[in-house]
Amino acid sequence: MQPQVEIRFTLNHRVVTAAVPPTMALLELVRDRFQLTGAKLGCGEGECGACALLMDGEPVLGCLTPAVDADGREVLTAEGLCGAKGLSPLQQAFVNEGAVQCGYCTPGMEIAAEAVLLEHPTPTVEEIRRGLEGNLCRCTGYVAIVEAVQAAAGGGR
Amino acid sequence: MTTSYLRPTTLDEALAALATTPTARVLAGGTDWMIPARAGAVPDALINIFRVEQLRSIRRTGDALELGACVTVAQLLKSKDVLQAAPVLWKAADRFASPLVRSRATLGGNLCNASPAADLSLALLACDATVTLASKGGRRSLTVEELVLGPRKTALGPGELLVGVRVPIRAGQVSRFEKSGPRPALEISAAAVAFTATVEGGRLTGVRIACGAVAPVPMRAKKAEALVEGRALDPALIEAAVEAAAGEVTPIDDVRATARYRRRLVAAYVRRCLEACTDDRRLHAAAS
Amino acid sequence: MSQQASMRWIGARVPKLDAPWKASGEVRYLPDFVVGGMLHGKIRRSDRVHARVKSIDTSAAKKVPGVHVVLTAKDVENVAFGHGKDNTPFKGDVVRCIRDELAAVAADTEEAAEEACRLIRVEYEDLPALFDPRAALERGAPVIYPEWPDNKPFTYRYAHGDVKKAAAESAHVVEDEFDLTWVSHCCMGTSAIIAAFDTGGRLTLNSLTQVPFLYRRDMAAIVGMKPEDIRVIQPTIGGAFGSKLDIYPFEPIAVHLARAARRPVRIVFSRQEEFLASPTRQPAIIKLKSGCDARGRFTFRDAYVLLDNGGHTSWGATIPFVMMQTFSSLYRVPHVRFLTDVAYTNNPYSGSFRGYGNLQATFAIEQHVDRLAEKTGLDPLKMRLLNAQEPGEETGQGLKFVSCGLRDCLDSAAKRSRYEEKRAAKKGESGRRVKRGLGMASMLHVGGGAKIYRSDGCGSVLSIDDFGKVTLVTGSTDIGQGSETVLAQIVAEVLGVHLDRVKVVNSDTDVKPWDVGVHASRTSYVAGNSAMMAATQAREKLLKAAAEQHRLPVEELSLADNAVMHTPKSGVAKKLEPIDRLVRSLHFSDRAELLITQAYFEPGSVKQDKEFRGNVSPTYAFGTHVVEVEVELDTGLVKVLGVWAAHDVGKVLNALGIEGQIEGGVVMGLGYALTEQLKIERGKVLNPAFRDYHLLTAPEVPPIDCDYIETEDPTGPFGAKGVGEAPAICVAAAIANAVYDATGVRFTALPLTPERVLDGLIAAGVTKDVGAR
Ligand SMILES: Cc1cc2nc3c(=O)[nH]c(=O)nc-3n(C[C@H](O)[C@H](O)[C@H](O)COP(=O)(O)OP(=O)(O)OC[C@H]3O[C@@H](n4cnc5c(N)ncnc54)[C@H](O)[C@@H]3O)c2cc1C
Ligand code: FES
Ligand code: FES
Repeated sequence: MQPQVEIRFTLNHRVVTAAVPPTMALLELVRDRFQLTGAKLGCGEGECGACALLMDGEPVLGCLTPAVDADGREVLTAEGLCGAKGLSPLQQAFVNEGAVQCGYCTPGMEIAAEAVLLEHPTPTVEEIRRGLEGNLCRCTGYVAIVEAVQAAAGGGR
Repeated sequence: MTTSYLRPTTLDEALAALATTPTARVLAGGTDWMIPARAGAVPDALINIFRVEQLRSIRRTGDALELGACVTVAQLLKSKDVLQAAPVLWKAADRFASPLVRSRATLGGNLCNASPAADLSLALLACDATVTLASKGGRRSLTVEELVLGPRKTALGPGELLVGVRVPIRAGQVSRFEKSGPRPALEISAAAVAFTATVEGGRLTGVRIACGAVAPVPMRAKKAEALVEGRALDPALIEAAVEAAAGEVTPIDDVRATARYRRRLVAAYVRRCLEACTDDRRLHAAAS
Repeated sequence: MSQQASMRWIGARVPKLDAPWKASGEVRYLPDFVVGGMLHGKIRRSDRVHARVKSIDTSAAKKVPGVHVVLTAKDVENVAFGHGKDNTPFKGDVVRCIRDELAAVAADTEEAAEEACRLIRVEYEDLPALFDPRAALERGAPVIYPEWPDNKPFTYRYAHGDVKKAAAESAHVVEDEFDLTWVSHCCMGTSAIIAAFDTGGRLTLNSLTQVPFLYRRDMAAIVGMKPEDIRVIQPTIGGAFGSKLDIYPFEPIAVHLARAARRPVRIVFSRQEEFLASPTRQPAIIKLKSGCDARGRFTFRDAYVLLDNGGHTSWGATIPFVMMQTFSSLYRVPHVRFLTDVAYTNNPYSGSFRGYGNLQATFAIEQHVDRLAEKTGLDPLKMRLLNAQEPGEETGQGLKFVSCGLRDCLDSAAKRSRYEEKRAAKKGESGRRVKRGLGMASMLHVGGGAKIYRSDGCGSVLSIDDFGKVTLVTGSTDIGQGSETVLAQIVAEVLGVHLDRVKVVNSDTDVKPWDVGVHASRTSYVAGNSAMMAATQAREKLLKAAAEQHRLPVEELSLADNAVMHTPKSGVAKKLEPIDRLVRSLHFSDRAELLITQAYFEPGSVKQDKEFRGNVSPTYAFGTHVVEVEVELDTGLVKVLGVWAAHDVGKVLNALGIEGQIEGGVVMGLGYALTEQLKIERGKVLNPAFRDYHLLTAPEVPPIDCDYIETEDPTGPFGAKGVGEAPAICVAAAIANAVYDATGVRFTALPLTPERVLDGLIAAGVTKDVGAR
């Protein structure tokens, strides 16, 4: 039996609590207990980025971050990027630029892209591409995704 | 079996906890540890040091760069001090995994996980870095070669924690980091070479050629180093050093690459490192 | 069909209709939803590649807390299925590859199901195994199925002209053996299904299938039900690329588990399982001999293809259908022979994958074009232009090219990449350790389906409600490629309504009319034509009703801006009546009529005869890619600097969507060319993880320039043809040609990993080996 560790953190702008075993991944907690299924289990080994979450503004792997480490932090999923008026400007740019096809990689991509914009408000194309290097997409060939991040940064084309 | 879980906030608390449960598993960023843990390899005690502030600092003193064990790869990349004082380490960080991993992967974890392909360990080996191990009983310093003994094997004793790394700063040092693969990052090295040397009067001194993923541990190509140490480089000497390096590594075949290709990569990378030195203007000016 | 002068929706950059929902993170894929009382299914697969199963002991598995049922071949009626009728849900007596399903568990949690699978004990008696299709065809080879003592379940023979004679008379002849390996679809969403019976015994499948109607029919036969008692719901899908064109054992297994447990059962593959147990691209060995005359006109092509069928048959075995089209018809070749053998081995088996054999065929053919060009002393571009097909041509195999933009594709890709200038400028870079090269390749693929069944059609039902909302119920399926949006655009264009008034329903076989499914780049063309027919009928009904009510000649009426417009002979158009009001006036009148239309579109293609002759598709897609590469001579690393793609798309329906299809396809092709390989040794997959199976990542993707050649096929909806598969097809061939241009070394096997390239460079003496001094 593993002990249950009590944690308290902010999830998509709301304070939540949970008791979790130390080996539980944050992804599992967010998906299974809080029904936020935007982040996906694409591989479970850190290689695809479908599980990406923001933790205190830093992009992390949901699948390899222990849930216990969320304690006292602010966690954001793709659902949490949406504002009261719907999609965030970044998400809207994903829509407008054709960065979404099957959409499976999209929530993770958006998180990685959001992290790029937090670090570089007006990123170069190279900074965007390097910022997305941990996220796999099988549909788009990444071009439209990079364009979407540029558009969201106000860079246009 | 019950697992105890502790999250100390200071180094003393962490060492005290380790002293009472020497079999405890230390958890830093978890990027290596979580995979086996989720597959069921649960330890009897877990001590999470990721958020011990004392272990997260980067400091530049007069002649050294002092890095805490829990400094993340993302921190390394954001640090101007690292870029200036230990560019080979910065470059290794730049070619390391992806931003999603870098935010949590730590220097200490990379060293203690003791993978033959550990890129930060390789860069630190090339930098002649020393690591500090601490336990409740005291502290000791080791070189990277003394710390990393084999795949997943380190010199850490029971109750011991790796707390920091010291990278000496050498004036006039040139360095280079070469890693395999088409991807800039998210690539487990099939072979990597980290190189440092000091340029003096057209000659290389203090040459360190560290080769990764071509032996059970990151290793130095000492024969190649000896060949070029203190000498002016010319094409024949470079080729001799390249041959020596390719000859002294002991790679294996695996799913990522054959031993033959790994050897060829070592040759290509060592050649690039040494040729870059001859391209270096300071060297040219001094030599001619 | 009539076309409006200026079009509002056709050709526009329209975001996918479901994109906002997906971008919000709220859309649910199969692993994201649960149905009440659902159990988790897991499959226990073989540990051996070829063995007799002596016993399966499930007693320990059954005792795991939370386990509801454990099934093996003994517990179900194990019906054979698939193209070769050689697959069954469970394998009872013999396992023939490591994918083979021996048992399955349904439990309350995934962990319990996994634990139970681990505890199932299997005793095997190993049988001699085959891993090389060449060895499989040798006399005295171990036999994998007693029914096929020669291990050869399928052969294909096609010919036109007289190859022998042509070979003797050719000025130049080249010959090579090409070796194409396994690659995986790597859909970001793994294989999954939810099977649930209702109390009346009806089965609902939440399935990722691309072919819901054929699937329902086949599934019914496998699990012993009537097709009409099975409802197939297609939830949002995390990629398909052809991988969901067949039924695979996990699907009937889910049904058997649900039936036995009397609870809904969900199976979701782990990533590792996806690599191990989902179909791959078909590997192929292609022996090709090609010739041309002294001026460079192709004289003949003689191909022998050997396909490794693995331990069971899926659609991979049928790729010769597509391969032979490229051999016979990409260029004018008067004499062609194409022979394929399909051989059983104990390797994993292959399915359909975007391009369906065409990547393999094109890799061989397009390298031979370059080789013959070199022998003739022609530039590869000139060689291709000299031999290119043209509109109006009927090929030796009977393909009819009503529209054909191949020449324009060649010209465009060459011009936009500054091909000739760069090839000429390359000379002076000897001695450098990095070499640049430029290569090109072209492709041909069906562009409007392929009539491999009796029908390749699609049905549509269209209705306009009292509020002017248009609902198109289409038989077709959207697998993430955006066909739903294109259909909505077609309907909006024809009916003159805003796109947000159009809803497309396409995910429930209880509701939607028949369709073959997503394959052969057919959806835009076939479903598009079907939707267009239904919309055109609705338009005629609306205009006729308006003409009657307003006593105006119907010729003066049109639809635009959600309204009926009136353009008097002399004057300007003005709004006559909003469509919703017109619809209400039909509904709430003596006529009491609802506005509903239906259409069924059957393309004008034919099923090929026994000699594989006939116009299998009503239209064909063409394209040319130019790529520029840089090769590091010391490491063998190939970097792609740019891709220039020109595609004959008929007509751009959605500028945003087509860009995405082409960019995505090109990058998939680049992966095939450079990094992707499912490494299989002695029947086992060595790299079932993204860590060692390398997909390209964002920083590696070069700039991709797309140009669309609009040939406006007279039979396509607004002139469009399907291009879903086209962009992946000729990338690898272009890369290989570019690497040759850079280094002078030809590569006949993929992927061009640094290690393979360096081996080649060293063997050719371009790079000196270490230890060679
Ligand atoms: C997708 C992916 C890509 C990767 N790419 C690379 C790469 O490019 N290059 C590379 O080198 N590595 C790579 N790695 C491996 C991994 O990220 C690194 O080894 C990382 O530095 C480990 O740090 P961590 O903090 O996550 O270690 P953890 O997983 O927390 O710990 C690893 C091991 O070290 C022990 N440990 C950690 N800190 C200490 C300490 N201070 N004292 C004593 N013991 C300690 C732990 O007990 C454990 O045994 C990759 C991993 C993933 C998942
Ligand atoms: S699921 Fe976390 S990286 Fe793939
Ligand atoms: S949109 Fe399908 S994986 Fe990215």
